[in-house]
Amino acid sequence: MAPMTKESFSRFVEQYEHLVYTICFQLVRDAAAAEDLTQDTFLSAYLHRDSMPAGYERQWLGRIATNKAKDYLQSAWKRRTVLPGDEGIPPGASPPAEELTLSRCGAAEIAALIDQLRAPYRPVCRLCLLEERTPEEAALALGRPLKTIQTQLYRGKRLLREQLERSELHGTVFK
Amino acid sequence: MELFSNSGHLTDEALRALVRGQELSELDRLETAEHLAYCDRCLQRYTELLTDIPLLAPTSSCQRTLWQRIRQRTLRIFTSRYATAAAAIVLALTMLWSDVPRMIQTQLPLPEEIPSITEQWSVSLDNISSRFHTVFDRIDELTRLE
Repeated sequence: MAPMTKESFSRFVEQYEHLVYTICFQLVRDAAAAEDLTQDTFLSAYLHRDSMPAGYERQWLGRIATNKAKDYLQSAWKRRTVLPGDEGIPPGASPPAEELTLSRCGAAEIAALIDQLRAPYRPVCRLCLLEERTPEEAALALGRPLKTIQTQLYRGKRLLREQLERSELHGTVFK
Repeated sequence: MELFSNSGHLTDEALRALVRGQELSELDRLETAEHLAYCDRCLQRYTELLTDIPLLAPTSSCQRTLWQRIRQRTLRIFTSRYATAAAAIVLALTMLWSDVPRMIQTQLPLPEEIPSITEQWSVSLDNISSRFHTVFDRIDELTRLE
């Protein structure tokens, strides 16, 4: 593939700008953020233009755009859900509240709770909490990136805690 | 609405909701984005769905500001490499010069296998010169791409 010149990259931006903006907007639902993410997508595309697969530009750009939108949504979600003081906790390392709540349950109770979880959290929690696999092993088994497994495990544990607290509040007995 | 099927992929319903701009919660969109970020099959299905709808247009094109950012980034990469090369040169010269007075002071006869100061100088200068060549090659490459 011939190296990209400024002119050819400008044409490339012109050709795919609407596609990238649409992907970003549909995921973040905010016009200003979508415009910023569109620009970030093309900046990354320019910096990694040598690895662009010829004939698959749409998918390649789509992947970069969804990654940018994912990072934006993840940080917005963290800002809203992480409690003050929890910022230093890396994803995957569960905050004490989740660990404490789950340690009060037996394996059967945790298994019942996990079965009630929805995708994509159920298989991750089953592997990491019941089968005691490491996040690395779960990533390999499920074919997901390690970071995704770590965030899904973190969120899954939080969902389990909420479920458990609701059950305790309503006196539900695990079967 | 079920976002994921039993096979762990996004459902058609979820992808259609995303494309039609139907109300998906923020968590739904985050989970969708996380999945699309690594799943080739769902990304392919999603981009195919996008071919059937009119695409959205941003209020202004990103072209102008994009090139400003590309220039800034290229400059940052260049200056960072130049600074690294300069630091390496300073470090090499400092190490070399700090050894010279010690070697003169001790006045020990040099064994044959230890290279002479002149040889050490020559090797160091060669190294420095090759680093300069690398830096200038990189500058040439960057200018050509610009």
